[in-house]
Amino acid sequence: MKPTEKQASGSPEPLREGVTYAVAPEVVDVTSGTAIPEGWSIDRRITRKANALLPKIEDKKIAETTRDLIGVIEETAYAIVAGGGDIRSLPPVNAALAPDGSVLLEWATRDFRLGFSIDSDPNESGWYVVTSRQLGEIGMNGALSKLDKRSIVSTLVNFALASA
Amino acid sequence: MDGMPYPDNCLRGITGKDMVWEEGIVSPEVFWFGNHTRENGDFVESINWCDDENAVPFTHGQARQHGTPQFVGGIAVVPRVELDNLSLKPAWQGALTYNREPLQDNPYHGNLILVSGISKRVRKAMAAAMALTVTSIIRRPAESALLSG
Repeated sequence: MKPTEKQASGSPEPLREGVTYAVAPEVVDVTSGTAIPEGWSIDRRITRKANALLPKIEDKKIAETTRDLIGVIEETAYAIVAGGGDIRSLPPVNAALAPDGSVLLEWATRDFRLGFSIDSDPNESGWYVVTSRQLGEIGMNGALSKLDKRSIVSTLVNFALASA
Repeated sequence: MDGMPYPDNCLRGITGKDMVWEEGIVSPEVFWFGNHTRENGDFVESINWCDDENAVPFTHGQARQHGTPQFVGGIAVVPRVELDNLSLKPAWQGALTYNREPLQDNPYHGNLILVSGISKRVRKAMAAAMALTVTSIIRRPAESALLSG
């Protein structure tokens, strides 16, 4: 998808391909929505481990769902950056492959765990939020199939940013 | 639960080095209740109770059938009070319990027990909550020596 980018007058240099921007420069007005524009490099630190797991996933459906979810995470991070936010405090997503072939993606700190489990049975795929006493001892979980992935990922990413 | 009093902490062995994500942070895999169940369908996973100063070296010394160390990732220490706290939460409804089950070759052995009927999806969320209760990771002695230079 070719983005449309406008620069404000009197603004400094345009975005350069291959350069990682942690914070979106003010000059950029990307009108392509949340899709990450061609040539825009985001901080892939956040999804590096998750992307590294993809080739190891044998089940094609699980791999596809995981890939989609990683994509949504990256788009969400990009949207925050494009909106002027700072994602440098967002921890990287940890990733693990279970003996039963299911996948775990999780943000983990000493105070919270925000995660997704992706199973070959869509009814067994889910998300969860658990926090320490310091963060209110929240415990929530739900089925991934019943939710719009963008909205749950956005909620979790913003929670992680606020709590990290 | 059982007659003998419980100590403050239980020890959960970590079978893979990649299950330790950062200092003090373990993957929920350490607490994934797999398909290992009792006859009544309750899910179980083994722990050792930290009854005395020998419990940790004993756990480090546990080996697989072919002699290699069982817990190459170290040992996760979980306060018993945190397990009780989890089980008391309304969402858990007392689903988590524990017991002692000393074995001929392991006097410290016990189990974390999750009541039957809990879906895999919810068990994974519970495992994350349990991972959050880990207060420390005791590495294997050789690793500790290396890390301390």
